[in-house]
Amino acid sequence: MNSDNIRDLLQLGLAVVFFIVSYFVGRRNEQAHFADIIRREKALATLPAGTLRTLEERPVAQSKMVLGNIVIAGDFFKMVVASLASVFGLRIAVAESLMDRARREAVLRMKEQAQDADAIVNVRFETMKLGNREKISGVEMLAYGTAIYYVK
Amino acid sequence: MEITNIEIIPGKKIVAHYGLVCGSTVRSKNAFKDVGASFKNMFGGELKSYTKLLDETRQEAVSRLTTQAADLGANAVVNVRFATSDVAAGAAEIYAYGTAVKVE
Repeated sequence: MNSDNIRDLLQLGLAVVFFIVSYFVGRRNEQAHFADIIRREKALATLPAGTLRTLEERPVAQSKMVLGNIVIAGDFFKMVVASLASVFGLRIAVAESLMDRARREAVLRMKEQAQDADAIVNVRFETMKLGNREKISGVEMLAYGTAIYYVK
Repeated sequence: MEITNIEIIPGKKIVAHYGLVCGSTVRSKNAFKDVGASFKNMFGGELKSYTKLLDETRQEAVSRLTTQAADLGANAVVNVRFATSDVAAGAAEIYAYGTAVKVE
């Protein structure tokens, strides 16, 4: 066996180890993130955020634009599974949970900017893919809307 | 300067329109931050340095938007929207636009 074969084997072995480790680490991180999201969503449930532009027929004291953003990346496991699934045109469930996490986190960060508001109206989402290079791949999720403070 | 992404400033009356105003910024990434991010890419999750970078960039775009509106004599910007694009490898453009108005 020459040195080229040994190097190839080592690289393959390393990829397999990364694949397995990233599955467990990524899954643990995702579960922790979801638990955190659900806890914060419950705490902020009294502040409704919607896509409607209309307000209640009440005098308004103040309004301001609020933003929330997050840049999120999938782990090595997710990327490998996604690229395999896209060969056969399958549904990529590993990416769905990633997008869900990012969008909910963005909404939470937006809400946290105006915790004492009465409502957030006209919420819009914007998504940007970062870097089409091999080194970094991430997605930025932005949520923005107008926080309304009614006269108490 | 009041900013909303709806057509009005709630509780106030629009007395003058000044038309479209916009603010744009193009920022590039930091190579050192990229090292940390590429490591993070292994296990997934939030790329905090990028979140911060884009947040700052967006605030810069909004501040240019409000400066432009103020120069026109406006005191509010309504119906603000954001657009983003990946201009070149490692650089992102953030664009904010809206309608400058005067409210009372």
